Amino acid sequence: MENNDKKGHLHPLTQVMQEVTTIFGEMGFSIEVGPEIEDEWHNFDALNVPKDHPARDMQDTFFVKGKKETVMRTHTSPVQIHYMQEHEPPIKIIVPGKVFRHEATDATHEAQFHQIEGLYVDKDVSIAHLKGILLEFFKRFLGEEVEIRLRPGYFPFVEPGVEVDLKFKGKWLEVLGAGMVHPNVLKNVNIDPEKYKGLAFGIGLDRLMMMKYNIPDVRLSYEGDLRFVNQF
Amino acid sequence: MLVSYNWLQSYIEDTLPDPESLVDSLSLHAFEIEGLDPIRIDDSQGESTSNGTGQIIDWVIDVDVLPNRAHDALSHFGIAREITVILGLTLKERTRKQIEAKDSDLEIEIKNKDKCRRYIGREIDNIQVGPSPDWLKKSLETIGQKSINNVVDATNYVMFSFGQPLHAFDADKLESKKIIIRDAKEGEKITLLTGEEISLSSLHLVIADEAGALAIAGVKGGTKAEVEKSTTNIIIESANFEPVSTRKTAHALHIHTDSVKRFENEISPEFSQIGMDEVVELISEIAGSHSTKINTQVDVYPHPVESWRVQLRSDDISAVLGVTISLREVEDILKRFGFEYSEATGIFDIAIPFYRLDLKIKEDVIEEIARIYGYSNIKGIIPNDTVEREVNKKFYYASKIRKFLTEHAYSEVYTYSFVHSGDVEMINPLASDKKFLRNSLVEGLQKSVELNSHNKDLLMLDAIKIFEIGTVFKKNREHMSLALASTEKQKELENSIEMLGEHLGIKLNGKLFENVLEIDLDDAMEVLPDVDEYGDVLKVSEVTTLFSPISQYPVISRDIAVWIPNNQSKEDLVSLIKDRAGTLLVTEPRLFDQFTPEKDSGNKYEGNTSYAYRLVFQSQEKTLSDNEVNVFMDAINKGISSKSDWEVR
Repeated sequence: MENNDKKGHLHPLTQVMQEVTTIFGEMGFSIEVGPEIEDEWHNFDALNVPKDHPARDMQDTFFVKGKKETVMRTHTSPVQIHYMQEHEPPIKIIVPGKVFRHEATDATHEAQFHQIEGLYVDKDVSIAHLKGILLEFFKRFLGEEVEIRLRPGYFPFVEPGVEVDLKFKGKWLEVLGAGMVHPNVLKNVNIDPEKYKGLAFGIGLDRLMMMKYNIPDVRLSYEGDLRFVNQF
Repeated sequence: MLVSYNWLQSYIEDTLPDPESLVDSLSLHAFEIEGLDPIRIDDSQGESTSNGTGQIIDWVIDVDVLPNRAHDALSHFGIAREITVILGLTLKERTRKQIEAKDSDLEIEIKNKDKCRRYIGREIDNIQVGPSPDWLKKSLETIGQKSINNVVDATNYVMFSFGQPLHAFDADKLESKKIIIRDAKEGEKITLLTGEEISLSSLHLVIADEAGALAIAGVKGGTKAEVEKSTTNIIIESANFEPVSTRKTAHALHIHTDSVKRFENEISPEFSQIGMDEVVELISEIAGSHSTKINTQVDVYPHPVESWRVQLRSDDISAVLGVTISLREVEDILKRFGFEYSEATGIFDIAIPFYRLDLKIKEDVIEEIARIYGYSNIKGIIPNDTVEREVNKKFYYASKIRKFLTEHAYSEVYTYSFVHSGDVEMINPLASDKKFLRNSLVEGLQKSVELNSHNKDLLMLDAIKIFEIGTVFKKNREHMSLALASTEKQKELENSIEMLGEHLGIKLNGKLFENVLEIDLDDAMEVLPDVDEYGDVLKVSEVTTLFSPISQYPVISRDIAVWIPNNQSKEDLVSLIKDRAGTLLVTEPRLFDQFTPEKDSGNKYEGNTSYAYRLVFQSQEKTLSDNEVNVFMDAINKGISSKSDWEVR
């Protein structure tokens, strides 16, 4: 470590967030943010995750006391809904932010972590665009040599839905979920799915940070420890 | 869901590819695979096991079947069918034995037709309950299920084969030959097969005889009509229960069974018949004899499901996927699925089979075509558009503030949102000291300052200066907050904020709490001007430093001051220290004092400069002792003494 009295350090998560938003910015995505406490409609119903459906179990949820149907957002996707309610297509946004999952913490899981969500709605938007955008992003972020592959996946708010794997240092790693915005989601925000299509993806920023800096334990991020932060 | 390779093979005409290739095909075209393990013969025990070195006799595959495919693929047959589609193989035809059945006197009454969509009951008399045959025991063991007796095993086997949950009752334990499917009475009791007594409410659906509950519908059986060794006459249930109510009951009672998993995801009532036919055949085979009598089934099916179709233009496919798939290719894929369809002028009219409850709209079918066609055959395209890019004010200023503060010696930390007290509480906190959302960043930063102040030497810092930007939660409002903390005087924080305010062009008002100053950034946003470019605020270092592990052991710090002639460089001293200090020196030697006597001052060290360095030692493996560090210090001192014109102070 160098002498640190003169210059402080940006948290590596911030560095990743700024780099990621910059890359997507260069591809025409605008940054958008949203609240961390959400009503269930924005977090689930509007995203085609109905009440009392097993799909809700896929995201373990914190519920807020004393407020009806209010949760800590389990993903950054509700910001899609807010944004589409207020804007007409074409829409091209990237949404970084903190999200919450009610799960036991370990080296790769935290109850709070960060995601970045991408949403692109226009007349001509396809899976091929999704693939093109994501490959371009990872090339700029990790280097020209990376490869990606799409596998079938299930997220109620997209159809088709895919899991995206990244080949990094010779190994395939699961890095994000994505797909074409489900017509029900577009209908919920009064966008005509016969006229417009959307692609969406959600990337775990902590995961990207861990890959990029070779960090073994996600919990190091949130301990306020400069022995960690000041390395970067 | 755990599936057995051999079990899958039993439904398929062709020979399956080896397990690894099979798993690859499944994961690229259908489901995520969470595991693949061999089942071996354990020579010493004569039993099968997943460990050891014995001969491999089967493979168990952990297939992650998600809610969209639980309707049709939470079963070996379902996954086998999927494999035949992906690989273009053929399913074996299933032939059924002719059964001579006698007329049944069983009566079935569904009182709540919303919650019970179909109920088939069938009595089998004069069977022999006993242990299952080996093949059945092995099959169930392979997928982690315990063998109970031949009848119960048969119902489980058919569920894991075809996805239809089944239940068997001891017919002689019923009050009469009548089964009633009704809402439970408020406070009605049932003793489950696990021995637990449960009190029900009217929200729960039960299978009952004329006296009381026999089972919680679709969830768990009770002891009253339990099949035991002495049982000779049984009634088999193959029914369909509504998903939401089954799910609610299971959640309320905290009972999660394989049956619940299938019903809560919804399965077609058409499966009830398949399940019944299969289980009757299996039970008569493994628990029957020449005196076994099979009764006719009683099927109550108030609203048989109707078939549905999906229309799809071939243009829709290329629009969603961004690739042109020829009509022939589409037809080939539909045929592999076994979907009946007609096509005219590029429009497909597809009859969806009853088991594919997930295929309702054209996008659903496009996904089926895409994954069989293969996502690897879709080439990525970077869109060519002119969507105008906007600047997010909040993100811009947060980034600008971060940049300014790091340039002024503050390091950024992230602390936890969940804390022990605050204004907004969780219904289901993870821990009793994490019940609330933070209403301020103060406590997190104070803890961080405390932690870091113990590591100043290691961090090579005289003072700890940190900040955090994050959301805090007040009773009815969440907002973005900025807080600065320092081990220095409060005035220092106030100066920093004043400078930050000048940099932003507004006056910032913060609140001081001991060594932390906090500012409501949402308030500040209201007066900050709009921006239309990010400029360089998002720019970060292009150098990527890889993480080095943080030692859990304490550091030992030592200071050393040395006189060196003015015409020599202190860098020589630093390299000598580094050479001799060994690998446990964890930071660069840090210059903390420097002194050159004035000319003609009479000081005997005139013409020399004294350099004082702090050395920090730490091990990744243990707590260092003074003696261990002394060895390195001695080596350094020796090195210095060997230079005639250097002197340790």
